[in-house]
Amino acid sequence: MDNFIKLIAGVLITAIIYLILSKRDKEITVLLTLAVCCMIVGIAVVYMRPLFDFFNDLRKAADLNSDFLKILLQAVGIGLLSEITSLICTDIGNAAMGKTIQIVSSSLILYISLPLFQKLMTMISEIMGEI
Amino acid sequence: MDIDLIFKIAAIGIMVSILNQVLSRSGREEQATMTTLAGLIVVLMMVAKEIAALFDMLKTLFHF
Repeated sequence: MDNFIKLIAGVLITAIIYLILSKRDKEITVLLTLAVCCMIVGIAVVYMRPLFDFFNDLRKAADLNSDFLKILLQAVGIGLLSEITSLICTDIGNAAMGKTIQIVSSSLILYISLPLFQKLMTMISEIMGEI
Repeated sequence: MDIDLIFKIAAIGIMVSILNQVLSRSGREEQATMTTLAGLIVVLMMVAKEIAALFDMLKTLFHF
């Protein structure tokens, strides 16, 4: 909880500093935004770690293949990173780069999900074969 | 969360903008540009460390 309050305080202070610097030095405000976004995601990761350990325990209890959880987690990570990058690019005024990153991340998520789709196709073929 | 970094970036930003103003008004536009560029590079190096730490953390957590 302490970390969350520090986070709120840090974001508010950054917003005020952003207001002061934005009229004089826009380039440094971009880097400031980037630094603060990295810190915020770093704190979020601290709270996500026990959650992912819990997912791992659930996977072991359900006796599922570890590759599936790995693919899911990678998809979440790719989505998170691409969203932050896209928002920062849009803030700078370069929406084209932001959109392109989103398109690439969607393609990458589909690419890493291919084993899941192949497994699904195999299961459907087996079921159709039995019928 | 290390709030010091935010204050450092803000301090560099304010210093760079003041120096930029002083040099511009003195008629030294090129030196003002160089000062801005130097400040940007310094802040970029500070931010690059944070980004590297973030990527390491995400690599471990999301099994990349």
